Amino acid sequence: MAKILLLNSGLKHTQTFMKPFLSRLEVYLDDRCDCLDVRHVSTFDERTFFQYDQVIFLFFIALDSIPSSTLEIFERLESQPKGSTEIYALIACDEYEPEKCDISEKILQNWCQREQLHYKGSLKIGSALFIMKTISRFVVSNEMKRLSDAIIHHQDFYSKTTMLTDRIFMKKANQYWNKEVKKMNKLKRKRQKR
Amino acid sequence: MKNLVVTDRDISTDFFQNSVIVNLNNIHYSTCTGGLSCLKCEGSCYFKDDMSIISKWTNDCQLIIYITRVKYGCFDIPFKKMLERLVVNHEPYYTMVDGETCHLGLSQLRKKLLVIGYGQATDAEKKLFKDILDDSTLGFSYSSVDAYFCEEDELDEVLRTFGGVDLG
Repeated sequence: MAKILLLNSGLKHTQTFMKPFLSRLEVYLDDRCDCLDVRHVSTFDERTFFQYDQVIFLFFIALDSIPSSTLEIFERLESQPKGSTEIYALIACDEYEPEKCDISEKILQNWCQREQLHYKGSLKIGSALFIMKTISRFVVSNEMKRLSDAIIHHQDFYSKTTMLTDRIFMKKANQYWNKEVKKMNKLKRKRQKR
Repeated sequence: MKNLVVTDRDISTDFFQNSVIVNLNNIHYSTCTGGLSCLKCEGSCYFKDDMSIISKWTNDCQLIIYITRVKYGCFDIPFKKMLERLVVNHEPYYTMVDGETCHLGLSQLRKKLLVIGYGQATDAEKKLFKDILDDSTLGFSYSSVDAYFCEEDELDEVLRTFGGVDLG
């Protein structure tokens, strides 16, 4: 049994996009460890970071790379006395290809190497803005169960998942954006009337 | 607007006389919240700060020169924060380019990018940084992307060498 920290380290509003993944992971890990803590960038305390046996970074990539909020966390941890914490990551991107998360993973991996922490792997999720609203959510949930098993058993885990095909992605994604743009226009018109 | 130099360190204006030089230490800009609401309202960012004009300049110029400290194999934090604000220059809809999905930039102009990275970076970090430049769009499409690395104390010398690159 271990002390685990789920750290939602993305930019402020991307934390909303990560919520479906975070809450599922929380459920899968909850009764299988001594202590499960969930923190965001604003509630994160660098002094307690190395007291956890395992830390899972969850973030949505920003401009194809690691978000500045996560880099800030790295910087805040520089002055802390180091422990032997195991690091996992759940990285999400809005494009179809989960490979877009590769660079962010490499940066995280490089930081772990530099700080002599044990990097144990990641789950990369593509189409993250709407994948949980499609049938592919079952595949994602399955992968997240596998990730939580790996965390509990201190095993390495490298996996990625996305929507079934790029054609379905293109259809769903552009539908999503049409809807969002319409919603925003409606809101604007309402505000103008006031 | 022809050329733009963005730097996170004070540099002499003599090096790039044909460019607008933006020193990140002298401007005010908020951190992107990542909510993508700018994509929903045709590239209009919620924050009205110095980045509004810098985003426009980056759209219009042909050559962009970034001078940044390399940290963790990535742009340093103030620089990364600036780059994240450039998401405003993207289209919301996805397009397939070479079999990959991406957001196209609003600007049709293909630019040249020169990045001068300074600071103590290992070879692995330099490679990582180059991978970022190769794989990431950084808000635009580029006809050429070049990177050069040096130590912090060598920077002035390197800038002297690259000075005039903006003349054409």
